Amino acid sequence: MSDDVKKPGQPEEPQKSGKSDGLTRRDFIRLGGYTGAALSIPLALPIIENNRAKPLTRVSKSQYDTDVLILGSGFAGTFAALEARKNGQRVLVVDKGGIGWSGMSPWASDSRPFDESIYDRKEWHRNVATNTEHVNDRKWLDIFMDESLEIFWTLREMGAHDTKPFERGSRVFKGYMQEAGVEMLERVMMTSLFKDEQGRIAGGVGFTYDDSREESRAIVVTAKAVILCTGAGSYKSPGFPIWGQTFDGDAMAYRAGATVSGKEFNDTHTTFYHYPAAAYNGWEFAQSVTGAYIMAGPPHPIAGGLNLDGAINAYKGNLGRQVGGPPGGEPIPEGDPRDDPFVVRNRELYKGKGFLKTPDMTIEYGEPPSGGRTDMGHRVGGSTAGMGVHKGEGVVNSDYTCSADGVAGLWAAGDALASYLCGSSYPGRGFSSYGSAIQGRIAGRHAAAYASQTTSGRVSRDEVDSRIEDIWAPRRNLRGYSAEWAVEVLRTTMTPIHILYVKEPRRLEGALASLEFLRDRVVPHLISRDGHELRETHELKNMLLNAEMKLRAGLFREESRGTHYREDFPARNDKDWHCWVTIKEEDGKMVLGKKPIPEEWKPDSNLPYRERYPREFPGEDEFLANHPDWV
Amino acid sequence: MPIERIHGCIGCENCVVACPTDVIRMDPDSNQAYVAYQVDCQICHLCRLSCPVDAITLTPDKAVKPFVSWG
Repeated sequence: MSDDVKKPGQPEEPQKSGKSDGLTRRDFIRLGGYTGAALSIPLALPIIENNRAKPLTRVSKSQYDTDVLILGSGFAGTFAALEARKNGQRVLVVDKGGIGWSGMSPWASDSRPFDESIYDRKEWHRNVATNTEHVNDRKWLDIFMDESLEIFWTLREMGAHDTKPFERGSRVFKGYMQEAGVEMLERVMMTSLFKDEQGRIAGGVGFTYDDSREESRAIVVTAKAVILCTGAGSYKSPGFPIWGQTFDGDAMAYRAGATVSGKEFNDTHTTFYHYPAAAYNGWEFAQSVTGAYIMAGPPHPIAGGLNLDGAINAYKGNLGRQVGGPPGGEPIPEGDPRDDPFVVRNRELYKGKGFLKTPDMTIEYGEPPSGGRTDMGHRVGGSTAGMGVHKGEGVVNSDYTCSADGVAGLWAAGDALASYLCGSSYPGRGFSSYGSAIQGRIAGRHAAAYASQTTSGRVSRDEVDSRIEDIWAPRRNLRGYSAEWAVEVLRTTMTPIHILYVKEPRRLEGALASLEFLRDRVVPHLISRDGHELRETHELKNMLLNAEMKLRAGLFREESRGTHYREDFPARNDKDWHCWVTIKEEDGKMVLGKKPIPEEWKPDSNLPYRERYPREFPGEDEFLANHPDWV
Repeated sequence: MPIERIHGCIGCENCVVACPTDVIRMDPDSNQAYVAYQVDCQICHLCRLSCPVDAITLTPDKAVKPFVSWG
């Protein structure tokens, strides 16, 4: 497969999908022939006729060859690409959206570089472990503390601090990648990874979905190493700009035999009822989501993070709903989050010390781009429903090289890696983007070293072609379910507080039964009338797989911890559950297991329970009184 | 709808590339951007911010009804 394909050359403008590139070999594969029916039925009905089904007797295919294939171009993808290139390898970055635009990186706001000259490493360890309930990976935290300051200076040198965050990727990161000779492909959705005859990851397949100018085509990339920098995902919840992320990396890795973890823990971002995802309508709020500023001080041991407090509060009935008012939620918080007393105190305490001597740490954007703050409604929860804890869900790696355990040739970084840098809840702002950059760099280094010592293996042509057939199946189906409807069912099944946030076995089983129906009866009959809908069907499959993992992991962990609350086990159980939950496919079945956490990371059992775990779950004290062995 | 209008498009395609959810496409005949899949707009404003001539007007109206976990 490696003959007559694209070779690395000078950096070039990323190709726009839909445009003929001329550099790549075009070949064609045969798919079954069908003709379309001609009925026009509106969207949102579950079962529709595919009035634009394609005969697709010929699907064009563009083929690329590289050393290191990187999926995603946020903080993790950019740093991985630059590092692998620095180590002499050919690098191809493929992004589902525009380079630097898609994913969560345009929204990355805070950073918290660790400066040994002003901070106390032990205090950081203590506070993060307490905040994230002792299932964080302390070695990853050490790596973060070793390298985050260097990332800060690197970003500063790159000019990232002088750019508006939403342009940081598309202007700064992309420019550096072009200069380094990284090749890029935009607006391509990769759907699966394939292996060579020795069982090593040898590349991936995907497709261009923009069929405005020409029919979508298959993309085949052969590579010696693949790094997933695909971020996290949500169920396209209408409360946060995260729809581009649909767990694509986790899903591809799992299907390729990787172990994943972290699915029982949840992100708990909130949004505003009248303005979900309207990220710039309240400028003060916008600055907090998009304003790159530096967190001074150590993480807080209890507060300051993305924990379950809001959901627990709602569970207890303490909502801000008033008669005649908007439905539920909490009143809009007053003021800028930067005025939080803890943040203000730290800013004063550390002012002028260490790296904080550097002036102009925040960017002022001036006037808001679209009016001022208007009625945003109440603050409501679950705006990122489905998303795990930053750095806590994804591919499992055990040796701190970011390689996928048990799968040769595969790496993951950032939110696609279950590094547990942040344990069972996000411990306060400032870890995610720098964590991604650090892990991207590590993955890039190790993947490059591997690629330099590896020769390309043989890949079965039939296997690649059958994967391409799988991509196109929904385009050929004449009748079936729309992905839009299935996403709606998935979203309404998973998002409610009593499924994802307050768990109980019967409810989890019920949701699982509903999703199994979608998986077994709906997915095989999805239809896509064009490239856009084809993308949606494959995103749905990935979201559905994630949802199944989340429900099974929620059932498996029979205790409560961090952002995982079980009504029937409302307490922490260090004896049985101071571990990580792993998920792996074995003989077509989803198998869950426990991965031990080093014994020395267990909280000190001599400390009173409430000191080990300051946050209290509803029903916890009563439960512990009846289960003294849990204390 | 979230993208109220695109007026004065110069055909640079920035918004097409900036959109994380493939809402905007180019009309091959007029070489102008148009809203192809409004229902997938997540109101992230990246199209508007990437537009060099300020041609895109957004409103906070959601195409998808809010469905939240609590509240």
